[in-house]
Amino acid sequence: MELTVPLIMASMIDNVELGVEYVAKNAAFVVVIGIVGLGSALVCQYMGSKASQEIGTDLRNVVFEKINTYSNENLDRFGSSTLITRITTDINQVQTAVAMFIRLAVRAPFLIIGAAVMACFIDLRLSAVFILLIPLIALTLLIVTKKTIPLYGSIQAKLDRLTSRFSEQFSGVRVIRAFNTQDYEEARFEKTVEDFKDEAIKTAKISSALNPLTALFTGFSIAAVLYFGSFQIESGTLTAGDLIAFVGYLTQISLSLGIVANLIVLFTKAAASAKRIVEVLDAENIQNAIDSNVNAADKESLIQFSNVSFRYSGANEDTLSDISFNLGYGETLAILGNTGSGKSTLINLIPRFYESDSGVITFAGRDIREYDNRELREQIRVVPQTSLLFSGTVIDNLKFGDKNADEKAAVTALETACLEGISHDSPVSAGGKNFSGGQRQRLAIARAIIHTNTPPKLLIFDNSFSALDGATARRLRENLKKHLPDTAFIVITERINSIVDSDVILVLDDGRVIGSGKHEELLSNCEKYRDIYESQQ
Amino acid sequence: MKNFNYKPLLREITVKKSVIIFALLAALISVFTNISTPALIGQTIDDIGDNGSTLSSVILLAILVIISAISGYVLQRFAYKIAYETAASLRLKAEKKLNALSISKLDRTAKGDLINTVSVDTEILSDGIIQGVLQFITGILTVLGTIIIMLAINYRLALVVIIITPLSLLTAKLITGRSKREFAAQSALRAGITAHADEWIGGQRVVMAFNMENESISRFSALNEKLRKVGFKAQLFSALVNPTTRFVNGLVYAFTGLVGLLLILGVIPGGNGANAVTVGVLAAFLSYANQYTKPFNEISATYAELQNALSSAKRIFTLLNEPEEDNSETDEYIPMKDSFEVSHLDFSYNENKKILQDINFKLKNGENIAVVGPTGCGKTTLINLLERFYEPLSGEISSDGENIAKYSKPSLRENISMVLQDSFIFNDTILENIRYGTPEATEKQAAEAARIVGAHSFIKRLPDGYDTVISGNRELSAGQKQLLSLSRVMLANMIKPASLLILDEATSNIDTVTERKIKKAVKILTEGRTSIIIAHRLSTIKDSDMIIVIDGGKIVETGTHDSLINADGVYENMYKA
Repeated sequence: MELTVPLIMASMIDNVELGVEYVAKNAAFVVVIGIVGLGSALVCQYMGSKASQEIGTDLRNVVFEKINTYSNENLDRFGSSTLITRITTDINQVQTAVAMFIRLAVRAPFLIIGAAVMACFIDLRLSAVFILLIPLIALTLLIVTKKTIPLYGSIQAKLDRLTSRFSEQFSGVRVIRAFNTQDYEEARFEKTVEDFKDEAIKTAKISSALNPLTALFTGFSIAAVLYFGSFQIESGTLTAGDLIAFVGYLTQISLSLGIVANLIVLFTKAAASAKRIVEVLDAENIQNAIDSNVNAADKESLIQFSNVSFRYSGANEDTLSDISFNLGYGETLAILGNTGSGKSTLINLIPRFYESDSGVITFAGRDIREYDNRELREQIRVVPQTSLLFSGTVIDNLKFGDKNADEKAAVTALETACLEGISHDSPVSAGGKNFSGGQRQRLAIARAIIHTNTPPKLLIFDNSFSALDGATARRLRENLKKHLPDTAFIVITERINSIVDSDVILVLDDGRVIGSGKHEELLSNCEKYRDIYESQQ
Repeated sequence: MKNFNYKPLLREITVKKSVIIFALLAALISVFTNISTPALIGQTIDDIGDNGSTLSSVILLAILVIISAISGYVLQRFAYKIAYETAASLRLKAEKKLNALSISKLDRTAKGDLINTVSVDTEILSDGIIQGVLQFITGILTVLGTIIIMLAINYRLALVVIIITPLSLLTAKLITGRSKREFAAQSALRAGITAHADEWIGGQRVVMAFNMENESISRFSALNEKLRKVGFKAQLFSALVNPTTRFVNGLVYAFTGLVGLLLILGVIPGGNGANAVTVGVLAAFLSYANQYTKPFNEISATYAELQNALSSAKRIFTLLNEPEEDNSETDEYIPMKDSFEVSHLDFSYNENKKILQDINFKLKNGENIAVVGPTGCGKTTLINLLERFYEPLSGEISSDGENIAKYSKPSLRENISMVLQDSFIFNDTILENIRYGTPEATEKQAAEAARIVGAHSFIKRLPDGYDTVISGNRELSAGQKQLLSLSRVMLANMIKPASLLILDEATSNIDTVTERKIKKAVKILTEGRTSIIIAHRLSTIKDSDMIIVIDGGKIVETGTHDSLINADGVYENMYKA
């Protein structure tokens, strides 16, 4: 629509002598075109806003859902700070690009093509300039985008680094203050900020050329058209009005190309971001079986490891090699071993947080890979080494263990975990920062044991009593035995005294089982165990 | 936009003066060339027929185009530079702010919220600055320039254009007035989304272990849905501005054309003589009218970006204006010679519940004190007060009779070495983690410290030894982390011995064989040095000069191991547990 305006103006100018009425009619026509243009633009904007918001929202949901299906392997590979930038700035980038695409990109190419066609109608010979103009501009676009796409990817990666440094400073603030290293941290952060900035400026140097270059090419075309057009006017094959209109269309093309150039910059950024989003969506996960019948039970053995080995991706050595053991229903297994001997890795294999490389792990007589992960984890509750709580209230956190948990179940769980003094509706700040280390640990235990229906079949404690004093720890152990009589326990601990009556004790060293059996057996046949035992007496 | 204070933002534009001058110069040249081009084109068309003049005009035109392209490039590059430099400086300020806020403030702040400010808001603001510099500077210059030229060409026509302009501004204002609230809400929701992602993706392992994925997703999508609604409104309102101003400007164009033609026709008088309106003049004039309205269109086209940028800028400045911790103490801490004394110390996080109540004890130079008690009794809070992460409610901690509150915090902390309950390991090499805080230490000294605390053997077995980078991909066990933080403190004390050593439950995650080594190491470390140990394994503190038993925030027993073991109190109960 807008395209016709210069043409009408040209005819008005050329036909000025036709009088006032003609001029007024045409002016009114221009206004009508404007109104129709406004109407369609408004519809377009509405659609554009709606579509880009929907796309952004959907993408965020899809990416967030995908991350929620990740195995620990994938979480390790990405790290949480890059996942966070991808779900925020990267998706914002794509969303903006979509909005701009609908708002401007649909318009600009039409304007360009339309203007070119109109120009051809005016004079075909002058239109020869397009033969030179179009390839030149296409080439410029191609070169600039090709150069900048990888740069934008690297800019986003640098933004990840910056974010993770900042996040680290927040989490490590006590250490930073205690060691007076604020200046050192500032210098480190400054480096990531400068890195990011330099990369961004470097990219801008290239992308900034796009707009002026296209303007340069169209400017030259206008000069050429004027030059050659002047001959045609002199020879009478072209009117002044036509030449003005032709130049008007070229100006139109130049302006639209400017918009396109800016859009191209935006799209290149968005393309780099889209690539990072796709990476998140493409990451492969552990296969999850659909069969969920956990009760197809072997009554003999709850957990059995047969020759299980595991290696972290990228590591040179196995973290666990050739592990075998057997744990019956309601029994207790204790795992001992030096720091770094593979204890935590071992228990992470049971709820399939990681997948073993070889060997078989069975739960209730069936390979754990045959279960639906969710069902499996419903039966196996873990109290991790770091007691991470979530912001909300105590009961919000306890509901992790059982969605249906009510006040009564909460009180029971809190009491069992020796947290009588804590109310179920006390507020919890992010990470549980408002509780002491020992309280956090016990809250994590309460979260694992809470149940309104059947209790979990297996509870795993990864050094979960470390911040408790001896008396509390003992009381807690007694409570657990009393309230969960049919539940089996796997306990990683350093304190032998607390596990002497375990049904099985595994002694790990450098990822291998170097002793297994009951306390007395190990005292007589495992030197390492004896060492540890004696060191604690 | 009127409730936004631009001054601080302008003050943040910290690039070199020369960059700004260059940018302005480039803008001026670029605007000049852009404005004079249509005049030249009009002139050229009018002059067709005069022999030879066409060629020279066309050459002049080509030169103008080249200058315009160069100045356009320079302007754009500097606009980016200004934006990125400003963003970088704001990020550094935000980080400085983080280091200047009190721990109690940070403990109450969601990390994701701050992260959002430093990464997302700053990014949005720098995009806004780019648009701002490009559109506003050139826009204002273009408007001024075209007004002058239009007045020069024909003041009647020019007045027509100038009088109608406020119309377009008014319509824009009418529409945008409503969207400000939506933009602010949008920024806040974005921060909320980042905070949720930070907390729940950060805790993904727990989420997974408890099958909480659906809960996490549904909370996320609820936030996301709110963002969609608010975002849609904000975007729509801002998107309406551009077509509307375009329409109004279209009217201006048509009206100008009409008036111009009427002038040519002589319907409106005054188009004679020197002021005569010719076809060429009208053509040029119309393209000026176009040029003149272009900035209005362009600014309104990027209205959403600008409005977003302002909302983000607001959030950044809210952070930067956050009151800082009072660090006005100037006295340098004088290393303790005689004793530390804690007297009548009370503390609470909120009024209704006291965490510590009337704590009193004295620690002579060279003595070792152990603080024990059931979990949650307030031991860690005591450390927070000794390190001055928090300030006591009443009572005082003094060193050689002087209240430590009068000393500068860095000088105090330099003299109080501490191993925290949660060992924090930085995303860096093992070596750098050990010599954290003492960068002057050599590699050999770092290894020596690690050897003393018994960390050397596990470090040696890592793929790159001391150069192994600790990152999310390579998680150390809690025990290994503690060994590292012990090495760190050990090294710091080898380089510069501290007045007071605090070990907070530091040995709780380490196997007992290793712990025996550590006990030895701690002995070396604490030998003749004043220390406070908070431990749960009572076996580790038997030799302490004094044991303080805290329960429910109060000291319930004091004495040596031998005196307490048969005192039939809390200590005996704990020991025999």
